[in-house]
Amino acid sequence: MGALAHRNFLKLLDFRGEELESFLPRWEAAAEKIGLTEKDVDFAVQEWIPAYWDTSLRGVRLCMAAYIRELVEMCSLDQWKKAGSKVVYGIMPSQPVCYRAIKFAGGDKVKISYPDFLMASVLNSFFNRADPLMEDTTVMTPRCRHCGLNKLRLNARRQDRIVSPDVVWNWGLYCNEGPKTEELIQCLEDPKWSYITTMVPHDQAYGSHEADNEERVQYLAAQLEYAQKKIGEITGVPVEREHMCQAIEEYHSYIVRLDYLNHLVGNADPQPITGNEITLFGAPTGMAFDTGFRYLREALETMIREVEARIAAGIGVLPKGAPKLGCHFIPFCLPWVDKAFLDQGVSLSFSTCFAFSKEQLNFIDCKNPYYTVAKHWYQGANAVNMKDEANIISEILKEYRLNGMLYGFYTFDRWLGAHQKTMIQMVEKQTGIQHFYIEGDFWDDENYRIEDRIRQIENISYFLHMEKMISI
Amino acid sequence: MARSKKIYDKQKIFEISSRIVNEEGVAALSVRHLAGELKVSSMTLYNYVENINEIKKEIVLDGMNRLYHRVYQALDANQETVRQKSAAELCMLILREIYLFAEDYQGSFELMFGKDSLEFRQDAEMRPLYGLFWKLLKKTCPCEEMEDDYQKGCVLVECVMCSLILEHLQNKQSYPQAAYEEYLGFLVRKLFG
Repeated sequence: MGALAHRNFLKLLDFRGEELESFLPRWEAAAEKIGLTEKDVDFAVQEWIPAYWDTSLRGVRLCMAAYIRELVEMCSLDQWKKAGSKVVYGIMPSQPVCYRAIKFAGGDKVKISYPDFLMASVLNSFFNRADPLMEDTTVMTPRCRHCGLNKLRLNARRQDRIVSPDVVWNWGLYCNEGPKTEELIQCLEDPKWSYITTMVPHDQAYGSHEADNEERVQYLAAQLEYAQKKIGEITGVPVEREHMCQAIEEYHSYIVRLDYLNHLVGNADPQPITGNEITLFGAPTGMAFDTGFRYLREALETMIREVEARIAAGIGVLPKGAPKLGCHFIPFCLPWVDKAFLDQGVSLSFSTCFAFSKEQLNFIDCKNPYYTVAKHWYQGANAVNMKDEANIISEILKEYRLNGMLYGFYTFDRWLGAHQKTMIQMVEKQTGIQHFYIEGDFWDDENYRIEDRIRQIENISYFLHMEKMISI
Repeated sequence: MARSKKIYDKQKIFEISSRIVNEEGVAALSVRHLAGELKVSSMTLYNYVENINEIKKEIVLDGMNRLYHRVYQALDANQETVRQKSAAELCMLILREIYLFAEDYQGSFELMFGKDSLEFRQDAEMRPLYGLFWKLLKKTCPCEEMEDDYQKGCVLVECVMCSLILEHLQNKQSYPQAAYEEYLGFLVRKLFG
């Protein structure tokens, strides 16, 4: 098996010829660094990936390869540090544009990474092997139900799988467990673990559209600019307005095309690709890749062409007329969820957290890039007051043909865990779309395994089929 | 000598709980009883489940699963009734399946629709699974103006159904299937006739 497993893995993701030969040793080193054995890689190639990912689609293969390229980059950060580059980490949810601006300013003088989000995505989705990083119980015990990303970041550092960054740009735009985790890592594990936090108060009038509150937008813009300046002082690479503008334009051009893919998949009957697959393309809008959008963009354009072809040919993952469920965030880190729904004749079709509002898609003002980024944040449904969020989501849902919406998998989350349960009732009232909920943990299925959740998945599916039967 | 512990997974715990509820009644379900059946201490059980309510919720989820499966199969087998979109016919079809389910799973039905059900009706996972009559029959409503009447009718049917079945199961008043269908048929014809 040995190196053959790694070679087969890369071949599966369309690495060929010279590129394969030069990338293979880097990938092997990266796999070892994050704790993937040859057996794990072989299992992924033979069983896990074929079970949950349609690698006959080139877009899927290229997108998975983009994640792997980024992971390899993350695993080589120690070498970059030795060579004098600075390392900046980010956590989600955040505004990844700010990190890409750092890259535009500094090139390889600064390396950026979202280590926890990236590792959680790759290890769970492609290998089913995030557990060694989730189950290190020394500091964050499993029964306390901490956020998997925070556990993973802490444990990855404890196990020396990621390097100590020069700075973490940390965000408390939802909750404050992320910033607290940085403090914990610094206190208990790594005194060199330094961080800068961007937070906003959540004291907004219920129902106000936060993007229209100029004072609030300007406050966040000032926070972003301040943090960027501080990080520039640490890295020695100041970020100028033009770098921010370049990053905004790069990001915007990606989300416009992603929105197109969302609409293609969300409104096609039969649905051409699975929920897991479309989420692969959405997740990178929540994190910044050091490798940028180059590989992702190629994957996205390929996927769009393949989806268009499938729609034209009437090819779907389920027969025409199968019920479709929208999601808050299709749990692609628990790929069995999407598969279990498909087995029940229901497809998960798109994620609201990667579906952009019209305001977001139409607003760019490069005269003041920080203002643009702040405005963009509040124009989206992800971290605004509950009624505002419900209104934004209700508008987005009007554009899709859905039989229901699925929320959940954030039972552990200090913000979403409680917030969503009420919010979905408001959206349900506004749109008439039935909302369902599944308790679970998006990043770590230790407490919510498939056998524990399958009945609820079946219940939702039965409901949708019965409703559909009567509607026809 | 250390006591040997037999370790079960969650599903085994739920299976045994469901058997207790359906064979011995809801009142028989307790952590002590369950621990005895599993031959572990009560404290060991808490390593697997948070509390007795988690177990009850699983029984309700399982009950919903069996009930939904049953109703789905009945609708599938009666495509002509489904096609006609007759609210009354569909309503009777669902009512019949619920009655048959209740006879097979008395304890589960009591948890799902008895006095404890308020807790589950408020639960984020369970809430969408309740109110099946209205959620399905609204598709048969002839016009928007009648939706309010239909919704009220569905609530009424569900209330009467629960009362009759629970009285029957608790031996307060016997409602064999024919009588149950006669009473509810009368109500359904008046409401959706």
